[in-house]
Amino acid sequence: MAFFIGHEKIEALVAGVRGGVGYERSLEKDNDAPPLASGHSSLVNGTGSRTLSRKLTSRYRLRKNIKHLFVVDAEKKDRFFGVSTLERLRQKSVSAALEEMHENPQQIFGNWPDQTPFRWAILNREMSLGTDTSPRIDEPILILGMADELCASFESWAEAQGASILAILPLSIAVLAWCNANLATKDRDSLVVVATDQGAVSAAFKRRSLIYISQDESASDAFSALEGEVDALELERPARYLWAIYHTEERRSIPEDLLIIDEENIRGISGESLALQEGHGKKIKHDRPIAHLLNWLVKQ
Amino acid sequence: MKPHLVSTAVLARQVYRYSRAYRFAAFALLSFLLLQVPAVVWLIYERQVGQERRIRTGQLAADAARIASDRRALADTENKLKRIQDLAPVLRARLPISAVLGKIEQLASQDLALSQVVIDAGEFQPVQIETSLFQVPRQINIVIKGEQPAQGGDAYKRLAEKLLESLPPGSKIADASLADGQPFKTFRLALSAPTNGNYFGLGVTKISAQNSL
Repeated sequence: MAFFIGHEKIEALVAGVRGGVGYERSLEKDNDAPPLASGHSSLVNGTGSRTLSRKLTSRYRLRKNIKHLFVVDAEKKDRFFGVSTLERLRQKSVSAALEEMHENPQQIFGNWPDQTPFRWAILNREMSLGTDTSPRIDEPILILGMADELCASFESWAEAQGASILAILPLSIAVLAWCNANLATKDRDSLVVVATDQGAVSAAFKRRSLIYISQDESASDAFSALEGEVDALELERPARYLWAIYHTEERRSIPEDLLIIDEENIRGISGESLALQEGHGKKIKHDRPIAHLLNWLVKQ
Repeated sequence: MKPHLVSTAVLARQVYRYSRAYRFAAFALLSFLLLQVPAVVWLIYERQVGQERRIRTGQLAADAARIASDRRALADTENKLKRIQDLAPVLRARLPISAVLGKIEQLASQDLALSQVVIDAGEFQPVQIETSLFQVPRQINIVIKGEQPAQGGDAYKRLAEKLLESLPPGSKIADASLADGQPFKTFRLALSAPTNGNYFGLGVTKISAQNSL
């Protein structure tokens, strides 16, 4: 099961061996729902005789061996993204860098403002989610972090559900990984902005390699910042993409030549609509970007 | 997908819970432990049996000590009984003379006049009791002499036969002879009887129990 965890909204894609089979749009209303991205439960916990995961596996006739994947739209203070190199971090390997970040983030990032413990991960420049990262010391790497307390709340919930955890991913990173795997970033340099409830994350890909990432307040701010970096990043006529979860009203203030990854053109990117059963038992076509993202993630 | 941002503790628990290798190891371990159940049950049973055996041994030892203590008080009586038991062969080899004489008196007809009755022991066997040596007879010889009228017929023989019937099994008539004479003939009867037979035929009655003193 892949959960999208927002601040007020929780959605889930229920998947079998061959991919998604069901979709739940409003799990935040369930008494046994996972914690929200703020770290709080949507309702007072009051589990019945069956856990939410059991109910969903029964509803969609799946095996009881449940695995959870959490895609979290965390608050800005609870997340960190950065592109760097091992050379700049003065580390010889990814494992050494992770250890140093865990023990002494001030040493790595200079002025680390937050005393909140973070968990860290490093992805390679292609943002492959499933392979071990062993970059050269001068190769760009993506450093991502999320508040330990927030991650622990999902672990506790998954344990109470009797499930194992596949991964906990920040929504923006999951979207950028999806974009790099599904958009034509190999053929053209690309600028991607991910707009969520918690602001926007902008990223620049040079021939599929992530070379820049930044957090901004809104999609328009993100595009403005990216425009200023195009020359510095030596990008050639980059394509512009916007992945927006709800921020459709901001489209007026963003560049005209960008491709908005929304329900209208997602079929062209993914190839087909998703036909997923919902709680009432009927199969419905799902073309919302979040559904395609979750479906792609469970296949990784 | 790599388990990004999942704590190592949770990952370790997941490996223990879901990894096939660990599941197989757990299965093997549980199977091994299940196989030990009969052995454990047997061990518990053996331990209980051993404990009961030890308790019983203790009880028996206590009983034996109590019996030995009681027996020490009866040692003197036991010695006396043993001496009496030792005398059994001597006491058993006896003939109730008065009963024999009484029987002869009952059986002798009026035609017979007895002149001599000799009862003698023979075939002695040595029996050692403690430090003493006793000669115990195995046979009793009875010799009766007398006279009967010349026309008395076989009255002496009838006496001999009736007396033989009264004596214990194994008894026999050794001699029954008649010497000529007028007007009375002299007869001589000789009988032998084992000493270890019963003499109920002589009118001796059993007291109460065979081994009673």
